[in-house]
Amino acid sequence: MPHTATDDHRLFEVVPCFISVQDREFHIIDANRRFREVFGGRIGGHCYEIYKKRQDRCPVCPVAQTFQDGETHSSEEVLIDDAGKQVHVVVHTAPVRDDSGEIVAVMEVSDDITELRALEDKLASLGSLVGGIAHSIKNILEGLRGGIYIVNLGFRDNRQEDLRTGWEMVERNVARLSAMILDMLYCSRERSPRQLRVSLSAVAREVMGLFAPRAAQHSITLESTIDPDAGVILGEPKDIHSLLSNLLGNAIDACLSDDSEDKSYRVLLRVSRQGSWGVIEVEDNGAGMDAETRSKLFTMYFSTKGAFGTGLGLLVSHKVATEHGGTIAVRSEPGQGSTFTVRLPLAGAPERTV
Amino acid sequence: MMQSAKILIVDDEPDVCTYLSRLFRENGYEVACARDGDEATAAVAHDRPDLVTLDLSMPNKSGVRFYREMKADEALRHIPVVMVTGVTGPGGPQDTERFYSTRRHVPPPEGFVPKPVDPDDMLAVVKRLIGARG
Repeated sequence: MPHTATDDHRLFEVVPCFISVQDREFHIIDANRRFREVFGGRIGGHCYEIYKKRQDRCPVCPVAQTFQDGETHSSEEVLIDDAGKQVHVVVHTAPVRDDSGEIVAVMEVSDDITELRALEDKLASLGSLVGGIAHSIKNILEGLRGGIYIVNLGFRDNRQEDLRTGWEMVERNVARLSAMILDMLYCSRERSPRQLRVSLSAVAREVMGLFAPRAAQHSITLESTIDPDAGVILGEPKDIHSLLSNLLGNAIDACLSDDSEDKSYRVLLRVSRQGSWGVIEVEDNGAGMDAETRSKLFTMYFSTKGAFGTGLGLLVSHKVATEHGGTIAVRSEPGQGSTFTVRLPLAGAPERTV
Repeated sequence: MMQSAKILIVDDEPDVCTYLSRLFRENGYEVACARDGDEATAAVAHDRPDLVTLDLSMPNKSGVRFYREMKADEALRHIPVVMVTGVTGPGGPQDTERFYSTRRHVPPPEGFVPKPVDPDDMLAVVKRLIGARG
């Protein structure tokens, strides 16, 4: 097979890695197609400006090391593509020598490992999820064990009061376990939701009715502004119902766990339409959250409610929102309250509503 | 006749308080409950219990602060503490390890009982520390 420089360049072009060649001043003097597609075609610029969006050289640089010792160096780097997205890569360098053996350039070959990193993150959070669930189950077992102990005392001494106290503990903890397992099933389910027509205003009114007694019992004002034309989404009615229930339940809990004096608490549910999106907002003026709590809200097994939360509610809400093509976000300040906003894409022209 | 020994239970779960209270009372101890670190601090100073059981994994970490303060207090540090720990997650080995690594000057608790608490295990630890003064 004849072998020419043109052949070599064709191969260079189609290698499914990022390849760039830098001179001693860190100018990119050549780059293959994949590199140009992701980081732009500006040959001649500094490498650090092109794929790290930096003003100066990187403190640790495998290209500089290779210029120095003529060896191959490897490292893991986080690059930034033209759209501003992070690209995790493993980079290997190699010296390019002229006929006299002097190093005139260094080639970088990088493998995109962004998806691998994302998978690792997912596994890590799965690990902490399982750990958190195990811990919660332990707490529930402790309640069950306590209930059984007290029931046994009741049998031994033939005392109704112990029997009742112990049995209530057993019932309460069995209920906690059931709630937890329902949430776990929601989290583990990988199928896509059914595509039924769900009216956001109808679900909102239903859930409002469900929570009205609990709000009234604790003197929390529960209000809503529900646009009857908020629209219809395609999805699983039960999921949307549980999403709204989680958010309203949390809002009431946030009011109950706040300890400021003389505050009159209110929870407001707003359902409206913004263009082709249905928007659900749940606002409370309860305890609020700090930045640390906000940051782990949707992604980690996490509860601020001790015995009263499963630690899974917002994981479920996040999953429901994203499975339906939507988003969920939160604004919150400690002592001020929180607002959760869910945006769901609306379905086309209505035919039949569930 | 010797007075009953007093035990302070520090746990945010009402069912755990009910359980341990009943267990200790049944065996002749006097009992008080605290739901968080602040309540525990007040109760220790006021009631001067003979022993404290502590769940470190209370949500706001106030259990750790309570333990540190109590063990730093000349008047209270002699009171033995039984730590109730899970094996995973908050209050598990990682938490316990961190608990020590950041507080080398704080002595370790006098006893450990794993969750869920076995009544006989708990009583054995309590008896070892303060005797069967029921």
